[in-house]
Amino acid sequence: MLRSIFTKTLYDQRRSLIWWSLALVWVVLVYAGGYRQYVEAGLVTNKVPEFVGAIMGSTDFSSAAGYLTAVIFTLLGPVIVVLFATFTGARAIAGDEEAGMLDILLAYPMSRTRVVLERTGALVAAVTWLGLVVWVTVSAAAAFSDMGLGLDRIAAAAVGLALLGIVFGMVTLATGALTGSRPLALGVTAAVALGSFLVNNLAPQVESLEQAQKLSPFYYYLGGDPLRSGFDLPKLGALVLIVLALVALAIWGLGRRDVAV
Amino acid sequence: MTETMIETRGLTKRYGRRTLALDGLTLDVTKGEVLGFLGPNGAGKTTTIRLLLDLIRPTSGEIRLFGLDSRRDGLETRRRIGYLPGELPFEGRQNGWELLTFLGNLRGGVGHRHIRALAERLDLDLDQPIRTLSKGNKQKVGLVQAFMHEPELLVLDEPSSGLDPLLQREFLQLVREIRKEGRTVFMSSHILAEVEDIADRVAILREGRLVAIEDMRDLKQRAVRQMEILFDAPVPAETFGMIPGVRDVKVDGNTLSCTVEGPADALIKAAARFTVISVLSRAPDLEDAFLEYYSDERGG
Repeated sequence: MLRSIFTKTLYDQRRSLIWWSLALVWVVLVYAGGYRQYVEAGLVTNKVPEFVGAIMGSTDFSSAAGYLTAVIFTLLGPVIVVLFATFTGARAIAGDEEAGMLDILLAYPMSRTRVVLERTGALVAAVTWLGLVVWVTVSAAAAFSDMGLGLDRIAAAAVGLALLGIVFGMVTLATGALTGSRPLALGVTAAVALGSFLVNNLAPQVESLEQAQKLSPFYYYLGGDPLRSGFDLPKLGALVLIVLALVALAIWGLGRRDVAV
Repeated sequence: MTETMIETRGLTKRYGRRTLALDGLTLDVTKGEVLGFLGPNGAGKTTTIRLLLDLIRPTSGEIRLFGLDSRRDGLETRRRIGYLPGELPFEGRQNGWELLTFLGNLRGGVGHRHIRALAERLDLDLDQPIRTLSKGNKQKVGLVQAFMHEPELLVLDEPSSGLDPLLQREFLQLVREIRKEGRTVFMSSHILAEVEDIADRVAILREGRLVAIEDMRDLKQRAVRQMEILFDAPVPAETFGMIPGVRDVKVDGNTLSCTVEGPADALIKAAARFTVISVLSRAPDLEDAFLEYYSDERGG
């Protein structure tokens, strides 16, 4: 595990990754695993205040797919996965730079492009792992609660969730690479994530947001309704393109500037 | 022919409009020499070093290392350099062994036996978590990673900071061995005493400008020493004030004190005309030699 920046980064992250994985498992088991009981106890209804439903992106709680889309894939899943990816992205360049470790790495025969790529690789691997955790636990919960959802549809949602996390992780990483400031990178990502979340979920109700919705990563993640329709490759492809653009931005950003002490 | 390891031409680094961190540094460091890079804090030493490693980019000017371009051929030049940063970032749960193995792997693998031998010489415990290490022990980790791949050129930013006197001696011994092998050392310090025993030349930086570059031997010959002579009776100060190289003559009772630049011969012979009880000569302080010489030059 000490062979490359890529593996070393994952190795250093192992403990935190375990905790984040456990948080995801817990959330999925509590909210999805108990679905049948909640329905029977009359806890799951469609009587959600309209505004809350709008913000959550779905008011259809009567079907398992609608419930999971709203609770796990719109709200709690993204909160955990995006937070993890953001912290990881912040540490990747700007955090390392503020600690002074970037100074050492770049004083080695190691190009800046390579450092960005290896750190990106570690981010992608870690977030993909969380996507896998979501896929496995949601599938298990769905089977347990008899939700009648295919593994492929759950996979489509989990892949989308992972890509969404990677997008925001890369927003943080790229901002850090451009500026060297960890607080700024975190702030920019928080603003972009919250903004694009609201734009996407409010767009169906607010006419003036209709065009803006296409700018939101959430649209490409959930717009195809993965739990009902399965993989929407053009939309997932759009997320991949956003990631690639952010990688290029990060490489350019770090390559052109002075590294801070 | 002497091979030039570091060659800078008109190297300038500006931060924004106001701060001029380095102002037209032109300097050659030849193969096999130990160059002490001196100056007070904020003089531009660290800026120079980070420019050499392409961590920051010059506003203008050129750097060639081993005859290569420091930026375009940066991978090649950094492969051949060992670098000790002024501030060591090492933290986390990892121990010294893990960190050094990792860093060695970034250089394509460094022999474990080599890491162990260096750690042993510097009396560094590799099994201790890095974050629990004292400043001096972190400095040792920094030194091991700079030396472990036996680079042709060592660029060390304040290498002795945090080392106790015993280890400082060991460090100087390491540098001596490196010079013997024909390798080159570029080390910064803000204290001349730290480099005077080891450096072949010293370069002095002040406010971003190179104010002097000097052979250590010349400097030592020009050294100023403090002398005190106790006589059996008061002596006339004028007699001594006229001797070339003798300055700051003060007579206090039976004691004469002064500073002497260069040989003390003339002073001793003049004193011999009176009855001398004792002579006290303090070791030449190169720092004073330096500062005095250059403040003279600046003033005059």
